[in-house]
Amino acid sequence: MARFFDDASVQYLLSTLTPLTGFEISMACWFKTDDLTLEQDLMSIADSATNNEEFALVFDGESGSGEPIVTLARAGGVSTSASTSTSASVDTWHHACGTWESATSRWAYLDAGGADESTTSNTPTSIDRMAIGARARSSDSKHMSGAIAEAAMWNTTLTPTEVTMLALGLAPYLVRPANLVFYMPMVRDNDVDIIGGISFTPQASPTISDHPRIFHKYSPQLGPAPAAAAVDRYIELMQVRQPVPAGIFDI
Amino acid sequence: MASGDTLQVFNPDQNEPPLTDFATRDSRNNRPCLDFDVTTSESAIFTGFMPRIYAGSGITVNLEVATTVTTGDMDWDVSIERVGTVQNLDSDGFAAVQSTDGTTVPGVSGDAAIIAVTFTDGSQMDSLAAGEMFRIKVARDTADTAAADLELYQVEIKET
Repeated sequence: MARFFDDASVQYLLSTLTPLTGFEISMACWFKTDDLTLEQDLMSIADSATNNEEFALVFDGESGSGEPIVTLARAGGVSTSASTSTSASVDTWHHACGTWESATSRWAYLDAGGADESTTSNTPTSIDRMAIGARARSSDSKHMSGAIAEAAMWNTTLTPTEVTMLALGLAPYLVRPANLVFYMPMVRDNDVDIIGGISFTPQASPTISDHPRIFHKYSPQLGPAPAAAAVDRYIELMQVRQPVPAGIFDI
Repeated sequence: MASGDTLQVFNPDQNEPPLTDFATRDSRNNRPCLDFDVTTSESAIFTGFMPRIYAGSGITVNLEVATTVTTGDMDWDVSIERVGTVQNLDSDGFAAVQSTDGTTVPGVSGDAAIIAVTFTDGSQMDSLAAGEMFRIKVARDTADTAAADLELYQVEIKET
């Protein structure tokens, strides 16, 4: 089950923390919008004190140039962005990814395609909080109308090949795990980042909807299930960099 | 391997969702599960390896399931695709489904049930043999009457 947001009710998730405050940043998630006419923030990190500083991964239905994914950097009230050449469809799961390598390079991807780069210099500052389904700045805006799942963030610039891996459905922890700083699967109302532990406060009670198609790491279990399960769980925990619980090797 | 011994276990995160009509990831009390829709027949697919100690007695597939309704029944379809060296990987080759139909849902929401689906050795298992790669597909037959998603928590394959 993914998280579903109704923009009319101003539903989104908000955290007073952010896993990153500056370059390099990669953000990715799956989204399914029910309104192709709105500008909707999928993920954003911003300055809570103003409306002038932010990094945002956006579905832009207002652009007048299709329905692209936009990778936004806003500093001093001036926005610069990359915008995919391809468009999303209504009520359809799509993968969105944005990368901000530096002040002069940001990329936008829709389903690992339509890639576009913006090189206009811009450096947002004072980033101190995060939102899913809205813009995290002082006055929240650009609310999502639809579902979001598998939100993730890396402290590096993902390559086009890695973006393709994500768009094929691989779970984020399978892509550049050493640089994964935030991952929220968003299954039902589990609004917790399982990498950094950042928790979110639901605003106006977002609901749930069907989850997108995702592939997770696994290994076949032969013979006694507990032994294989313990090893598999250990591998999984190490990949997502969580402490190994006591007793994990008890068989 | 003796009759009744476990050959393989699959958990929800091992699902390889088909391109369309896939069972969707969910959780219940923080337990991962796969949801199978009421009206659209959805499926989950798992890749496995038949252990070399499989003795050829046929298999029983046990599905650990639950739901949120307390009335109605569940229909489950399971099918096997032998891969080994005989299946072209660019296509699917599942054998005919084996079904267990009409199982009454548990009387308490959240209570688990185990649905057993049996396969005789041979064509029902797509002639899968010990030491071969295979896939197993689990699907809900929406002709059943449980008026809510059916939840799959685990799949066990054991020697019959």
